[in-house]
Amino acid sequence: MATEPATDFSFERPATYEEEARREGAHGVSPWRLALRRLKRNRVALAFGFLFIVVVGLCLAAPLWANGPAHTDPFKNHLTETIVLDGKKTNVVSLEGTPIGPTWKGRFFLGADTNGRDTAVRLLYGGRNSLLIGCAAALITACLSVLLGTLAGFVRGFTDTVISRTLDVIWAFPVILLGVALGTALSLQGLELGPVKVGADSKLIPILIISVVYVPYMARPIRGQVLALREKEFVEAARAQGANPLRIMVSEILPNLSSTAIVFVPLLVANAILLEAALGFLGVGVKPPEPSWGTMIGDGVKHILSGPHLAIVPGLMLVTTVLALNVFGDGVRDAFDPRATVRVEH
Amino acid sequence: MGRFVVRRVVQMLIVMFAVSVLTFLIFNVLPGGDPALRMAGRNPDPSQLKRIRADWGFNDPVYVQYFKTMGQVFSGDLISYSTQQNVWQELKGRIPRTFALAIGATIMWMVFATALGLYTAIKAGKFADRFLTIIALIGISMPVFWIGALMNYYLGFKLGWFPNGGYVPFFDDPWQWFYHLVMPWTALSLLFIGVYSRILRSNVLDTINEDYVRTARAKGLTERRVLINHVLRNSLIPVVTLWGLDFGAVVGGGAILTETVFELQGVGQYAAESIGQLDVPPVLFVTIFGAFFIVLLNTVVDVLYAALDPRVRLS
Amino acid sequence: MGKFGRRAVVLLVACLSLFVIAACGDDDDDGGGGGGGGGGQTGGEISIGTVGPDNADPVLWQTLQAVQAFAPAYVPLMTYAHEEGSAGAKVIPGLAEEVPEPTNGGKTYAFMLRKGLKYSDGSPVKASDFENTIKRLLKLGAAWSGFFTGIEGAADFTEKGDFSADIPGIETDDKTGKIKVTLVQPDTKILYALAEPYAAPTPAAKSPAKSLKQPPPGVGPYTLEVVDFSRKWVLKKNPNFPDIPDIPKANFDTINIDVSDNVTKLTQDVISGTLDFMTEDPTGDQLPEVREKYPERIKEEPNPPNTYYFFLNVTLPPFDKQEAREAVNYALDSNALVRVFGGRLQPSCNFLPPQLVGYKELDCKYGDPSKPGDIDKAKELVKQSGYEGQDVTVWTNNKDPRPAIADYYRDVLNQIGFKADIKTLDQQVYFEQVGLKRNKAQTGFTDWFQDYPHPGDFFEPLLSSEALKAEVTFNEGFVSDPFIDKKLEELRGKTPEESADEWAELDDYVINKKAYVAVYGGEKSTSFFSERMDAENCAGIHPVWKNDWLQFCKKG
Repeated sequence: MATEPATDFSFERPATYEEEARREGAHGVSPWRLALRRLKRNRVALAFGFLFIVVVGLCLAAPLWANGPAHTDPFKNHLTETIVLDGKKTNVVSLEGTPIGPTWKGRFFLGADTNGRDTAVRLLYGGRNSLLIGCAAALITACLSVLLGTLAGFVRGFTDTVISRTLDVIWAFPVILLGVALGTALSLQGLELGPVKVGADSKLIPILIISVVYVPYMARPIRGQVLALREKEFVEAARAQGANPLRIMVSEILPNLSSTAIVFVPLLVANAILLEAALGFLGVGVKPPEPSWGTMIGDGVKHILSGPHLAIVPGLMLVTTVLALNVFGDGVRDAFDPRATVRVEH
Repeated sequence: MGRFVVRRVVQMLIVMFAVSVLTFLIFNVLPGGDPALRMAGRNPDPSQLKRIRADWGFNDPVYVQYFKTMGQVFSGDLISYSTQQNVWQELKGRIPRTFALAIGATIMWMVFATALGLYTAIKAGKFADRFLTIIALIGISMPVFWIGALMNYYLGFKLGWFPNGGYVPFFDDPWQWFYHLVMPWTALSLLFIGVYSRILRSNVLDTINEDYVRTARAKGLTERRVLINHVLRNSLIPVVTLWGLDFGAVVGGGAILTETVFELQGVGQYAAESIGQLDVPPVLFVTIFGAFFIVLLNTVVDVLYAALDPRVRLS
Repeated sequence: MGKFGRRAVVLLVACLSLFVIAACGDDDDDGGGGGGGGGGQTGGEISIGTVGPDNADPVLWQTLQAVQAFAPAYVPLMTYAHEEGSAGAKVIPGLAEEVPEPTNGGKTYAFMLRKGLKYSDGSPVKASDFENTIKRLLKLGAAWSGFFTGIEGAADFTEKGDFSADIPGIETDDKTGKIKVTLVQPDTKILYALAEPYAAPTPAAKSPAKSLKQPPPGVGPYTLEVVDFSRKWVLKKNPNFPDIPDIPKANFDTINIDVSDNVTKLTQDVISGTLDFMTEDPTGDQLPEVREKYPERIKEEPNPPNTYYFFLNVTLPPFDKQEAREAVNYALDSNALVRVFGGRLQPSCNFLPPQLVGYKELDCKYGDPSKPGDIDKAKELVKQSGYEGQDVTVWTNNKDPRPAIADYYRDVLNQIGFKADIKTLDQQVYFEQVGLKRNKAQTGFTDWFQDYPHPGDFFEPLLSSEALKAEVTFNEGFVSDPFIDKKLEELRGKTPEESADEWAELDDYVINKKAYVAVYGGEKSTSFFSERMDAENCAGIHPVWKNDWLQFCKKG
């Protein structure tokens, strides 16, 4: 196997990057600059990253589409209306409940659903919800994981035991079951933690559930890394100087975790979006009438014989978004940490 | 080594206990409706409700109810709130289905992932590698319930190539059993093939440069023997241990989505239905069952690692 | 083979052995599908698909699927005629010799058991077995026990909880076969309740005071057996079934009851002939195809009589004002909902369903149900009520198509000037939550399928003050109107036939005068048969049981 120079494709052999790192490291370039440079060279990853931005942009522009060519909102039921298709007056929803498929025109561009709602409009608004939940959950998971992983790895002892065992319990709980259980239990009355009250319909509930479920997957590797970092010379030095533990954690440990955290984030977002879809499919995600890709797929699957577009459209959108995140996330990982065995479960 | 195993088993039991407590709390502390009202049906009399609450112990404090229910879990007397039938009886019929799904999918994904991973490693950097890697990533990006539903519709219903969901017990008709499981296996595997083929690829590429491989080549072994005997075997070890974790996760509850889409009526589907109905006994049982599997396989994996790497044992 | 290889092999072996265990654990299902009985009309096997009876105990089941399975195996003292359509609502003698006229001011009914009756296990039927069944209904807290608390001493019996105690209102004589039931006050509904399969006598020795996992013996053309509760039940021809006039004998040797949650699959099986009938309706998704390809095998009827409506909580804003309630009635367009039901809705504005005695088609104040709603008028009325902009939460459960119904309703409420959103609960817990006063449900989905063919069955649980006394009520609107209560009191002792006009008046009052509820119609259920069944003549469409399996027959 001949060694090939770093090409514009990210899925390169790790050994190549090592050589390169040795070369460049000798010149005193900071690891961050190194990583960004590598990422910039990875055109495929960048392309998919851009694709993700495009999806986000489209979803943010949802009101423009809704108020403009579509002339509706994601909640209006056009059950008894008719539109003109190929010169003929057609029911948006037939008397037997069959909705029209994509018209490729302004109104009902991607067809209607069985309540007569505009699929394209719901797709974009649903995207806002799915993306919001995915990103928010990933962010919360990252923060919680860094916090808990650092505490457990650095302070050790009893704190470590408590945190690690709690993470073990969450890890042992089958992911979907935990999500569905919490989602169902909270759907009746919402959540009341002392003064904080979260309504049963709030989007905060799926966000919190998804973040909690994924914390063990990131917190453990972080903890492992902190354990290793602890033994490093600069930490010893700081301790010898009498710096207090909190300071050491913040100024010495955290910065070194940043590259790991950065590598995790795109993958977390991708998985959070997938979990949100799964919860929506099972009926415990975003609550109606708010759309989300998961609930749209769930509804679509129920009508797959009379309206296949209802399941296919949100599914394709979901796959595209998650794929973009995965490819980009892969590129980020190869750039920052070529030898990483970072992996997030589904 | 023995002490290590004992330690891990004890930890396993503690974690399972915690999981059962957590499940019970989720459904009893978080407002979950009133099972007595549900059991009494339409127009319940106050005296009816009193009777049901007394018989089922709903008036007892939470921890008393917990211990009573856990006792029933182990004695096999657990009764569902919704159907009033024995939970273990119900589960007995469903466990083989979930296992059939999980094991078949497992074999399928390991075979394909190994082939794919090895092939893309050999062709690293070339077009075939890039193309197949994107395919693998698409597999990772697809929700299993979506691709499952589409397969069911297009291949099962429209084209009639495969049956439209359902499960046929093995002893009724082995061919039908297999035939009905092909699509669920494929849907469930797609995700894991993607993940595992890439890990394998990366492991293979690492191993290929190791000294002992070079030695083997220098000794004059054919490329193929080198590949299989040395490279593949060593690349598979971490993969096999990861497999253990994923298998546990699938049996433990990851099969829910596939089972629901294909109507396999396995443990996962039962769990999803019971949760929706706030039917605590089956939920408790299934979560413990699932957690048991995940934790068991985690422990097995840890023990394997410890057997291979003494440093882990001593940490 | 190095250490590693060995371990990989061990794992592989473990994996394969798990597979074997999995295969061994598989139970033997009997394959579904008919067999036998080729040319003839009787004998042989048929298979019926269903989501399943909800309980194996003959007094504890609650669903339509259950009543269809239990009715062919348990004939009570009275029973319903085995006729199609409204003729099936007539009460005829079952195990008793005739339908009695009440005596003692309408409070006492005397029944005489037919001579020589035997259960399916060959043991003789005793009069005291009847009292045992009623006691079980009360002691086990059956959903139907409410129909029998009107018997003298029944409430006391339930209170004390002593199964061996006697119920003074039921006197039985095993020697003569005489049974006397005395009520606390006249109530003609008792005859209808006694005609349901849950009131059938079963041997007292085999029917103790705890819930049974296997149905006990009964008197019926078939015997019912649970093979595997959530997968298979079976009805077998009962060789000991005596001759009872007007009760048909078993047409088949065996009826296989195949239980499955997957209605899509059940439909495919009826299409292919693997199943002969299903108790469910094809999903909205498959219905158009079924209607198009197999029109002669499917029948659609608004059966059993039912009403679908939105409850309006008259104790909370905004529906404490009549203008707001009328606005909803004006705005609703039944045609929109017909689509949501996949065509299976019969628009109506009456509170009572058309098949019930006491129904008279209303002159709808809010517009013809088959015409679009009047949104402008509704907006006017909302303004008048002073509740424009009011937040309203629509309650619904997750069973199809209720979420879609609720979404349409939410949209309509928004159009007429409210700020509406939806609250969805699981169907298992929905009715226990929505009928709780403290949950403050303003409006939401509800439906009512008749328990027995008597208008009182609609008004009393859904609109009376009496219904509000229960912890969880079906009067979700918390309607408490002395006019209604007084009327119900008057009509309790009369038969539906003699008071038909007064029931129609009550219907008009509730809808046109007070707009207490917002009705949009009745659901049409389907009877879908396989090719070999005679759907035209033997559909058995029955107002109480939905489909009377005793009327099923194969094509001659």
